[in-house]
Amino acid sequence: ATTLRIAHFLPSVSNIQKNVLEPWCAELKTRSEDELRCQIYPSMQLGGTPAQLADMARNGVVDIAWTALGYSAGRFPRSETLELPFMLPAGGVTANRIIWEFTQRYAQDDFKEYKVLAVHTDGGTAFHTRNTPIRGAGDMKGLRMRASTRMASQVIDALGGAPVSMPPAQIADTLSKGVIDGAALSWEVVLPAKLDEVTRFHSDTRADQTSPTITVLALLMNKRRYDRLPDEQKQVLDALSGAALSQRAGVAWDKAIAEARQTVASDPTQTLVTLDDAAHDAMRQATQPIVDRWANSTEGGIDRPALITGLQGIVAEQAPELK
Amino acid sequence: MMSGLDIGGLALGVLLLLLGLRLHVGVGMLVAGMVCYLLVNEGDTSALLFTINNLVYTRFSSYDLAVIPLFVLMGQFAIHGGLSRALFRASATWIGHWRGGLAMSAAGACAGFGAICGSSLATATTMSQVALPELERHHYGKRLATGTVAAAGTLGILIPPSVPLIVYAVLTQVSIAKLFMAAILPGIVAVLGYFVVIRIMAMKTMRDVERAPKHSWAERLTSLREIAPVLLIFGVVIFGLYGGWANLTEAASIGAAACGVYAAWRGGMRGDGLYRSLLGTAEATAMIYLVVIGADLLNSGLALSQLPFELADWASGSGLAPLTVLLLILLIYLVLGCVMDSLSMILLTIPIFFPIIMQLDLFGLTGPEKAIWFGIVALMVVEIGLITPPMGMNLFIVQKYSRNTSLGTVSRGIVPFLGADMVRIAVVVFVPALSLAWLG
Amino acid sequence: MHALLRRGAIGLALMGGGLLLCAIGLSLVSLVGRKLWAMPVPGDIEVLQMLVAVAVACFLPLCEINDHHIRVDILASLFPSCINRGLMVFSHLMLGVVSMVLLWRTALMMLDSHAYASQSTLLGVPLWIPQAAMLPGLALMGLCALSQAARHLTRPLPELEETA
Ligand code: NA
Ligand code: NA
Repeated sequence: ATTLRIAHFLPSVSNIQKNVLEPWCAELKTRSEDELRCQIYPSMQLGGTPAQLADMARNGVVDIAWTALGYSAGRFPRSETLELPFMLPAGGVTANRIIWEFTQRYAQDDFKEYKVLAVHTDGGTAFHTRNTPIRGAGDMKGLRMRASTRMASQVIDALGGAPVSMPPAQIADTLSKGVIDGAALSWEVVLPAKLDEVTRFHSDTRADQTSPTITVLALLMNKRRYDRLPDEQKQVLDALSGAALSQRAGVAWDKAIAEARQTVASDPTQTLVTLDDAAHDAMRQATQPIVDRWANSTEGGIDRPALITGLQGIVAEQAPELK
Repeated sequence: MMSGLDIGGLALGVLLLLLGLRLHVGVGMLVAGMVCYLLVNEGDTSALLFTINNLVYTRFSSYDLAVIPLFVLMGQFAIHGGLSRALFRASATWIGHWRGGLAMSAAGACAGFGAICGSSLATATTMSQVALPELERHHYGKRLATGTVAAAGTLGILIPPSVPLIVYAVLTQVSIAKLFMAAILPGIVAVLGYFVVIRIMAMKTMRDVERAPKHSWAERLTSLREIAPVLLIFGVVIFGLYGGWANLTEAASIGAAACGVYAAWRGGMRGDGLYRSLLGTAEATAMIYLVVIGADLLNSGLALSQLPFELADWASGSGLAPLTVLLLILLIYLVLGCVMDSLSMILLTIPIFFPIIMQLDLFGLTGPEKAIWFGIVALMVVEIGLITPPMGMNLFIVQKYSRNTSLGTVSRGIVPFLGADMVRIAVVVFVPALSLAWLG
Repeated sequence: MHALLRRGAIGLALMGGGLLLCAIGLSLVSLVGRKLWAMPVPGDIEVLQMLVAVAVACFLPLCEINDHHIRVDILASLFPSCINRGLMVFSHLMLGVVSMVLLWRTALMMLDSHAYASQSTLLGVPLWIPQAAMLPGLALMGLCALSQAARHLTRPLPELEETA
């Protein structure tokens, strides 16, 4: 039997472990007739920092790592296309279909050193604030907002806010003390990070609007480890990974997002703001320079404008109604 | 292929051998951790080398651990600022005239000093110098005097701030603030326990002991003014922290700065005092961090071998009553405590025992409650290691500062205090409310 | 040689102590700024982390040159003195080897950080700077350990204890 060592940076009760990795592992086990097993190491139990996870998989410290690609700045340049402002829809299932297809068609070179098991979204960015509702592009002026990725901080900057970075565990605490005014985060983390207790306004995009930015998450396997698996185990792993596993993550995220929105919507002290088309357009205008700057870079000999066109093509196919 | 239990067991065997050969504890843990990595990866060194790349910077720059040097410095300032002497004098003014009162004063001063110092060794060292000569002058027997200071020295880590509790919190991701709050009541129980022991010993052995004079209320209130800064600093650190307006690092910074100012104001600390405080802090901090990085590699190596998880599965499936498993674990601590220091024990054992404890149903506690309660219990049992012969650091320290006293005398003197500690551990184990009361 | 190493270790430890005092100052300024003017020092956490990391590395050699790193000495009294002497040589030699391994790997990490231009999240401080600043501490700890081993090899134990 083979035991796959999987490491990630969230607690064992997190959505990714409970609703994605554990069911997936259970299915691996049954389908392979107990030949493929998992040992999951949550919360960086093997030491190191989240930024080192991708390297841990590449170097074989673990067999599989779940990480945000943005943590390893500059190592996955093609996949950065996915994080550009106002490209992808919020939510899990549709976005993940687009992401997986984009990864297969345009970003394979980012992952030469890995066997990619899944690439998926964090559900897109919503703005959660204490005292100031964000209804239009100008409302973020002067607000100190926690950003989870470099791209998110550029977006906040472009909208006039002051991006702040800090570990997820400190967000609720610093929000309650007024050190920051809000956070740009996926709905999926609102309940686990207790944001519903410390913020009152939640600005969100409609289903047919693109999200301000997304975080790309990926389950990466050590390539040598994969190559050395017996063929039957490879087949089981292949059947349950890729598009299928990305979809599994999408379903789990959509469920968690719906639950968080439900909790907030049913609370009379909380206000849900949905951006209207004018505000959405204005924000997209304000962040366009970020896209242009990224497209003009020729670092690594990558044709970035072609990547953007490619992604837009896939989006037009998969989500034609998206604005 | 070797199983996880084989690999983990082998690595622990290697560790014990190396420690027996007098290797530094941190180095022994590093080597044992390397053994784990190499066996798990069947000789492939790339995983091990990559892990070592990140080891030192990741651990040394850990935000949670950064409070350790701050608390160490705070204790050093307190020592060189003459705070220990002021504390002892103040408690002697209040209770010195009781039967055995000076010994009680020494215990009380240790408790007060423990409230601003995170280390038992520092507490025992400074209190030995202050209290032992006074106790001798008043004809307290060597056994009672040394036993009192050695035992009460452990209050340095029982009463927050506490280095082992910080490390426990980092290993188990429990809130340090909550652990500190949880340790306060058991710490007070510990002081009361020592008072009872001293009282009984005093009745039996020292009818002819010279009692210190009784002091007037005016003198008592004056003495309080001397130690008011201690109360203030402790209040700022603990309640400021719990009240939420400062995080632990900031609270520790305030404490260290306040102790520094106090030390300078009392005149006990000029250039030389600062010099010695900084060097003392450097040594104590280096000592801790070398063990921390060793334990880091060993623990991730053990986690890779899956030994902790296999043990946890075994414990929950063994049919043993949860309480039996708990008592077995506590027994292991007592045995280890005879030869190892408290910090190394916490670093070595918590990654192995914590998953086991979290799988057991103990007194119907919830997960987070159990994590805090077990932290306090573990702290109590490793603290005992400091005063169990043959390797009890506090015993060595007290013997060094007590003139013409053998280790045998100190060891006999500690026995009644060990009894009190055992009783207290039983109380803390069976009455979880004692540690969880203030946490809501 | 030994005396020179000790002086170096003391100097480095004092420098580390200075960094620690800076960290305290920084954290107080940030707290006061946040409380009074709602103005925390930007990036205070990451700067404190770097300061403490370098400070701790600077502390390591002093602890070794004074031989205060934690050891389990339970069996020492059972061994004859010549064996104890051999064990002490072995123990310090191992610390020397381990220091060199840590130095080598941390230096590699520093080069890696430099090559990939890793930065701290908020202020964008290049991470290779604090990592490089840790190297002297690790190197000096290794030298101190080798010197300790050499001393135990060449001089009998009682003489060492008197000078300690
Ligand atoms: Na303490
Ligand atoms: Na002991």
